[in-house]
Amino acid sequence: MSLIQQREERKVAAALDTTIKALGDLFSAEADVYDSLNQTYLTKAASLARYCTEKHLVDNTAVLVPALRPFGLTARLPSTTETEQLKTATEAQVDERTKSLVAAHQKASSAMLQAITEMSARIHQLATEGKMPSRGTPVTLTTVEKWISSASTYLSSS
Amino acid sequence: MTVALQSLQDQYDLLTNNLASLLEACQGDRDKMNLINSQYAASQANYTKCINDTFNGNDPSVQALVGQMKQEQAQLTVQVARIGEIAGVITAITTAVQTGAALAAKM
Repeated sequence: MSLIQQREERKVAAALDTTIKALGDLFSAEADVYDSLNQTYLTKAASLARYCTEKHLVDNTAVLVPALRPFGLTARLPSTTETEQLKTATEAQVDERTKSLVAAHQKASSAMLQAITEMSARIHQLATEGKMPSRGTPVTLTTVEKWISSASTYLSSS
Repeated sequence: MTVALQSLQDQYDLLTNNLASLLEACQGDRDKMNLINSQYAASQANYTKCINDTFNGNDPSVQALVGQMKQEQAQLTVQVARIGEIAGVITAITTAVQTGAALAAKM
């Protein structure tokens, strides 16, 4: 990197230093609210899913997919009465998946805050000491990206 | 999460999880169903207000209301388990949601 580029980078870092610190403070103050909104969304969805299961509006054979898919098989049950036996498994799947999705969001929130904090420290160091030894993407951002990828499969964009 | 937000979320989640059963327990009585729906909407509004406001959970009056909400949440959970006695359940819900409204108003 040329001396001119280094000088320009330090100028930008000085300008960004306060902003990125404020972003970290804001995210830290609001992270619990984001987690809460996600949890209430999932509670409502789970409640509807349980209601649909109760009213036989859900294909309960879906819980057999993990066991049958490796062998290229699909479930076929003769009557609604038979699928009743799978209802408990379906409801357990809703409960377990809800807990897992709530935990994944909380983990992603923490990871996001860590990533912002790390970038803030790097920019502050560049602004005040003129150097930024660590350059790559913060590792915790991978957790956030994984959550976004997973959430995009069940959260509507509309 | 602040204790105030947690209390309002717990109440809203409890009513969400039991809304279908509560409405069924009304056995078609429109007045009771409307009462439950309006209390559910009020609980949601209290929670949403809390979300929309940044507040200080250390405020003594907020702490007192949070304590009251916790007691009422316990009572509500017991009442919901006795869903057959729907009149008592509706009274417990109304009391708890009114406390939630008082808490949200402090935000």
